[in-house]
Amino acid sequence: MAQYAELWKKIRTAGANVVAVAVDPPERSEAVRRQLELPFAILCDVGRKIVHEWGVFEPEQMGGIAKPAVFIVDRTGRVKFASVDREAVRVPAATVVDVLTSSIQSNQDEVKRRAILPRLSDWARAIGNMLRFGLR
Amino acid sequence: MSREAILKADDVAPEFEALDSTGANRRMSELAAAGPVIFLFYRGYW
Repeated sequence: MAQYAELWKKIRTAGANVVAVAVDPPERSEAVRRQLELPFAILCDVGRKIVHEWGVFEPEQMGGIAKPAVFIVDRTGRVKFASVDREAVRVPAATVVDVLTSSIQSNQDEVKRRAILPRLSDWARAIGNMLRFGLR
Repeated sequence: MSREAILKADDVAPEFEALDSTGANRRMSELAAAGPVIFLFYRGYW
């Protein structure tokens, strides 16, 4: 998510927005939003309704969470790009923004993924949040 | 539990209404109406 914050200017220049979705309660997501200084909203899908309807519910981890996934939805509500990723292999934010700014519909199979290991600061924050909010 | 279909390109995203972390009510259709939206689903820790 921090990657999207870094690309925020480019995203806004393209007339677009970013919305994060997590199953966490508001106080937890708000803490993350402040820690990462995210300029966009985090939706709290506590009831797991959105993750179910969008097909990204992961029932086998931590009581049911969202799979890491990225969708670009156009102003008519149609999905222009979809990528559901494995934990350590996410589609890079820069690739998503390139899809956003190009009018070409990208070939999903050609989107290059690269392994992104969580950075040390991410681990520190994760552990801090666990201590603060407990494990789900 | 039945396996739900993952939303894919050219599908219409289902409408939703949810609170954001600040307590504001958000609707998918209203968010999208202002321009394209990148929806990021994440698992909380990073």
